[in-house]
Amino acid sequence: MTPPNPFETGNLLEVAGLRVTLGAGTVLRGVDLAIRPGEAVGLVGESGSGKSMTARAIGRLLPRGARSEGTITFDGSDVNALDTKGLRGYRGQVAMVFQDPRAHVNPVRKIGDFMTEALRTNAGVKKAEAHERAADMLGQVGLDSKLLARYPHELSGGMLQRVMIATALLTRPRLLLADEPTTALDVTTQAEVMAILAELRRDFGLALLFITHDLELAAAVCDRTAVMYAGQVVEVRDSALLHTDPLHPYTAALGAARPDIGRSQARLQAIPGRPLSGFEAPDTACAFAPRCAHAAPGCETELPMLTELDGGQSRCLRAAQLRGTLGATTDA
Amino acid sequence: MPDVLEVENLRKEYGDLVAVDDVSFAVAEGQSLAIVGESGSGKTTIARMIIGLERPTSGRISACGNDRSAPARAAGNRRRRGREVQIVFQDPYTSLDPRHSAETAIDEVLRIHHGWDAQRRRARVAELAGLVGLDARQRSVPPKSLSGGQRQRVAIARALAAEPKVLILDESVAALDVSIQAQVLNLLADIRDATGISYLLISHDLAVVRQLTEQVIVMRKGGVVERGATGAVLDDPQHDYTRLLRESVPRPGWQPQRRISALPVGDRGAAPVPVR
Repeated sequence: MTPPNPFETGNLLEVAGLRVTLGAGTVLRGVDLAIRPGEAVGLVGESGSGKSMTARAIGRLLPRGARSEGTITFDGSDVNALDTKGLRGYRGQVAMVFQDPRAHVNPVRKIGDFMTEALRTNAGVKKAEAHERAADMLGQVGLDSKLLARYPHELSGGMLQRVMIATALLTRPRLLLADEPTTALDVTTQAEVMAILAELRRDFGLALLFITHDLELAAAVCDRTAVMYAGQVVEVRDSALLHTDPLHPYTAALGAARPDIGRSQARLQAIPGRPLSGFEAPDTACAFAPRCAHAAPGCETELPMLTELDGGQSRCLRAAQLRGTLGATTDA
Repeated sequence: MPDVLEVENLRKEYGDLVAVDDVSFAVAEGQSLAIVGESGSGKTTIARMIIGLERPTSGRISACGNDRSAPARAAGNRRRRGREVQIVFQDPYTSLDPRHSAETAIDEVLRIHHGWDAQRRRARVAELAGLVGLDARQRSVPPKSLSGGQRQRVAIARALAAEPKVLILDESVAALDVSIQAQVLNLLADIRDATGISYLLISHDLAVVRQLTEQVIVMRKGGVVERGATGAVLDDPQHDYTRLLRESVPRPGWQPQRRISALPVGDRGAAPVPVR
């Protein structure tokens, strides 16, 4: 299969048929995803759905021993075919921010060293200039340049996450992969970090893949949201329509299961059973069918494909029948 | 309804740091109270003082009319306290003994607290495991063979085995997947209907607070900044900090506001802006 030409599709990143196998287990079972330049796409799912593994595959950061199939195309180049030099350039264009910033810094090195390492070693920027650029970028995320001389333990989690974002943006990437970047933060700090991300995206024309378990957060900050279940994307939808007009029963069920800050409910609409991970999912049936309120006999015998519908995509055999009926109702 | 838990003028200092500053509240039998606030607000320190893991610097705690401000001196006293208040912690991965199956873990609590014979304990283990929805396999395997949601159910069943009047839920549903969280929240509501237990919910998640509690106190930097009926406080917050918490919750059309503006280039010598 020849990689699609980005000038035809207009996509900055394209993931097609991505399968990842770890040991004997299949973690990703054919992920399809596209991001346009400057677009923010949310990638939402529960534990084991494969959302983090998707980001790691895109970042060429799969764990040792993982085998991957399918294509990942960035700006027209096949990401899996990049050599060391090509990969270095790619890492400058596609930056990552993770959930736990403390796990990704060296505790005995100063913030300045950490921030400028990639610039100095990969981009050949002189030390003084690298520090100057790091100081400017800290200013962009509302932090003082004096932090360059501090150690990670002297910073709060929220400050350190802003350092990570500033660091990720230093190489002027075109795509930021953010894996649960605000999950460990307090809600007010989360709001602050999201506001900073939104502003920097605008200023830098940055595309964003925002990975989260929080459907409401993704819907609030992303242009489109992709929902994953059991190692596959089951829905892609404009975020504005995710609550009112979801296309897949799982998305609708996730939205309905969350308690509502505006009212207390006699019972929450819990989804029975537990989320499946990719390696537990059947190859000849819809993985969500056993938990689905709309399952029909065919759902247990046929694997649904991701299909275009109403401007989005849904991986549900009954999607066309269910269209327009899955949206959240506001009655109490 | 009598109060099953009373906290008066509670204060905790660690050296110069005042972690909890003059906090008072009461929980009536069958009612539930939430403590909300961010990391460092002192909410978990209060829970730790109530269950005796920390000693208050000053102030009074009583449960079911019995003072528990000072550590229990005798084993009998300690056991009685265990029948008054139990706790379920946030992290289901570190709060269970890795060698004990759910059955063993629940049975241990029954043995300590109720002095029943093996047959009666076995029946009660089955009852409690059924109440939290653990199947036969899940009851007999070690925690490492269980998911996070299943472990949290074991922790809840174990806490309920002591038949406490108050169950402290310290971020107990925060780490759970949304679809599992809804199951556990429904379960907690069912248990309250069936037993008349009171919950002290410690949470940063205002939607969970709305779902499970009637009363709420909002804490910041060790002190209470607002209190009242949960619905009223969340719908019409009076304190600026409560309003900020409310506005920080993502929702359709949310525009997160940047409170800390970008520092202008050339003016980077200003004092660092504190976060959290």
